[in-house]
Amino acid sequence: MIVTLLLISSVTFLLMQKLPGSPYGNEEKLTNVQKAVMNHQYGLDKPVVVQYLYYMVGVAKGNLGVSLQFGNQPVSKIIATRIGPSVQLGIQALIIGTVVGILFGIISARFQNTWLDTSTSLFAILGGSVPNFVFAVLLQLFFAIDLKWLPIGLWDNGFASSILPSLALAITPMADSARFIRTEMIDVLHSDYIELARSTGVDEWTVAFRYGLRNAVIPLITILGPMVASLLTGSLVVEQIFAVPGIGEQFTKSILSNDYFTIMGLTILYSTLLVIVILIVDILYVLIDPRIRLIGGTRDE
Amino acid sequence: MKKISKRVSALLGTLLMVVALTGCGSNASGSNSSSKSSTGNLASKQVLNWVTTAEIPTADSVKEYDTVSSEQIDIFAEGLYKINGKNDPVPALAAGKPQPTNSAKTQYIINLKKGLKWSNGAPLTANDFVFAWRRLFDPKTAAQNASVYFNIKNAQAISEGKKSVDQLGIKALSDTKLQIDLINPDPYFEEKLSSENLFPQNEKFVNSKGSKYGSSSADTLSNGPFVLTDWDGTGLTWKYVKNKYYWDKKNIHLNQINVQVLKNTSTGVNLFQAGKTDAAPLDGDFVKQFQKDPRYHNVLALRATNLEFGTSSNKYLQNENLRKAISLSINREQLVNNVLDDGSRAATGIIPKGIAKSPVDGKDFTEVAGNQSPYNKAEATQLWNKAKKELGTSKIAFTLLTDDSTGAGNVGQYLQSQIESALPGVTINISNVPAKVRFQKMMSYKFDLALGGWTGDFDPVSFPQQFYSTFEHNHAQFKDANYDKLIDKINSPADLKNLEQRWNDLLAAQKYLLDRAVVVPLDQGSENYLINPKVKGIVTHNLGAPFDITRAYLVK
Repeated sequence: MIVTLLLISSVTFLLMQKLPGSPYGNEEKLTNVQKAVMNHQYGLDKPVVVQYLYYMVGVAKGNLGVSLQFGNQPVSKIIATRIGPSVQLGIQALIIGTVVGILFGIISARFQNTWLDTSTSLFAILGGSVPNFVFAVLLQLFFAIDLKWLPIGLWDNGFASSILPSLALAITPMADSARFIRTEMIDVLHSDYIELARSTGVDEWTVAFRYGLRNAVIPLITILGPMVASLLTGSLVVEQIFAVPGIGEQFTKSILSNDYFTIMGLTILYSTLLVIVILIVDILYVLIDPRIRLIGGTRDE
Repeated sequence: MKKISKRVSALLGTLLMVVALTGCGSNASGSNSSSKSSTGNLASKQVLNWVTTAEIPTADSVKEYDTVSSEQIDIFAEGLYKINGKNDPVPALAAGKPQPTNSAKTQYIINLKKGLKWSNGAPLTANDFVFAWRRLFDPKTAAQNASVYFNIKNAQAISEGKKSVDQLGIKALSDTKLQIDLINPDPYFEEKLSSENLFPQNEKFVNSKGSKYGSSSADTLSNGPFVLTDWDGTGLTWKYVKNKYYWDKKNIHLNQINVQVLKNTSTGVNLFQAGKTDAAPLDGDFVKQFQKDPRYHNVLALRATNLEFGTSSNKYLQNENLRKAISLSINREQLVNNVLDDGSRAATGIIPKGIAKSPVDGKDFTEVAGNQSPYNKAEATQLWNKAKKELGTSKIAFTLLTDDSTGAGNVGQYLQSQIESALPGVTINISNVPAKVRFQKMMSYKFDLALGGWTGDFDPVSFPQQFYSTFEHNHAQFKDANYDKLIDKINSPADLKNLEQRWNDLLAAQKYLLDRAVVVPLDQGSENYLINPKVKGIVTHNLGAPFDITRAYLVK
């Protein structure tokens, strides 16, 4: 894990040096002398290797540096103040997305080739191909502007503020889980042990949920890993549409403005999250399917 | 002295086109006096729900360099002068006009009002200005806007680390008396003193916060009409409450201002129409949609977009007839009305509208200069034919650098079609790149054509000055001894003390550049907002922050 993170941050640090231009917002007015003075202030005039060592020593001490576009705010503070809403939306979207998606998938598989299957599949295809910001705007238009049930945007109304953005973000996991579960369930429902279960007189829903789902969910868990990481780290467009103070936008903005330390801080955050999620996914495999074992070293069987 | 100050205020009008956003209502205009008379009509709840388009990058006034920060800092802080609703600079913390102490007009005495206080109750003294100004030029601060004020004695040397901060041309002669030394006389001195970078800072407070100063409301000290609160430093919302220590608090009507950052125009318009906010920023298609709405307000910014030539690196572009042909082939009216359609103005020269007014008759620079960037397709084709003979070729391909934004892409395509149709044989290849890449190429002076721009500050000379031979941002690398002489003259004490002469020299400089088509002016950008008609007393500026909402009030 540590090695992966070290590798990711080193490569990012080196690639970042290739970004054109300087990190100064007022670049179009600065003279070269001023730029040199400022580079010196931020230690950007040192050789890349020295900069890298300084930075990594800082990170080891828990110092992620300061943001160059946000008037020297510490990067750790940017993350701390903006990650909350993104994580909340991410978790809500994940729960809504997977629960509804799995239900849709099972219904599709259970009623294969009926109108129910066709309509849930159509929904899954739409959800997978139409970007979530289109749904965001439609949800806003329908539930907030026409029906006035929910706030148009802003983050000042507690849970109510989080419903529409969560729904918009839930579309992708919903569509993905529905498609995966449907395919897997159709396979599983035609397998021998399910036939056996049916023959013992267990009713069809119990078969599907108790015996089928457990096997069908494994591939879904695999794709959920990266999905969780990307959901928790926010979405640029959805956050902008609902005026949510999340972290989604910061990464894009920091790259566009050469905000070196913010790029690094967020890269480390994202990759740490991803590595942790992948670890959790591995553990989940074992819990769901006892046949899978986490093996340390080789073993003769 | 009186004469000068009259001239200064005449020029000021030039700097600021202040539009009272009060519409045609009979009960109110932007000025303070009439707002008082309408107090009877005030709504009982004086809370403004204001919006802006981005987070505050910094609340540290010396580090500010962008529109969002400057607009926000103006709400909770104040400097020696400010621009009022009648287009004049008026003393804010200063007790009167600056008093020159020498005939060269390079040394001034400014007295502060008595009894000024910070929002924590501490006295605000002349030393707070000395401290802030030294901090502005201290290389350790890395203030990005410092070069605007290099006319203050020793400022440049200090910012480059060659002199110590105590050699800066500002002294506190007493708690309320400042002495300021300039290098050259400055007709825009009072205007510059109204800019946030030169606001005072409380030494004790700033030092106690260290590098955290200005990074949240708790780490920021106010001295303006309002006090900044509930700002965590990176959030999308913050508030202002009335400052009980403000010297002019009797003219402040709002009790609270809630600010919300809105980055999505459509959401902003929806919130505005649902009555959640009192304003909404507009762009692109939304400007088109609301242009005729009485709640629509447009403020021209001092942001000029130009088609720039990489003359030094492309031998074809060294042909004057070709450059002129390109300039003549562009229909700027069509560009702003059909392609941009976002409230921009078709450029008529390199100096935009609203920055300079004639010292003789008060007319805007653009009006006096007339349209020096006309559209004439027939003449363009004719000049192109001439250029072909001179260059000995009939086919030329250029790469046009533009940013990778939709707007810049559309302008690029429009220019491509205009130039290619008027100058058969010229091919324009568009290269859409991130802004930083385009800028880097322009600064290397190796490019053909580029969609560039310049945003002005207080002195109109910054626009023609871009083409001074040794100026780093002279992307065309235009080098002309006569032109340099002209710019030197504009910046000489003789011109700085004789504004009519300077005005004529500015006109001559623009003409000199455009006669040679050194650059092709395209358009002037603008800020576009919807504003609740019940909000009165908002003042808009072309310069710096587009809106001053501190004296605003809500009517029933």
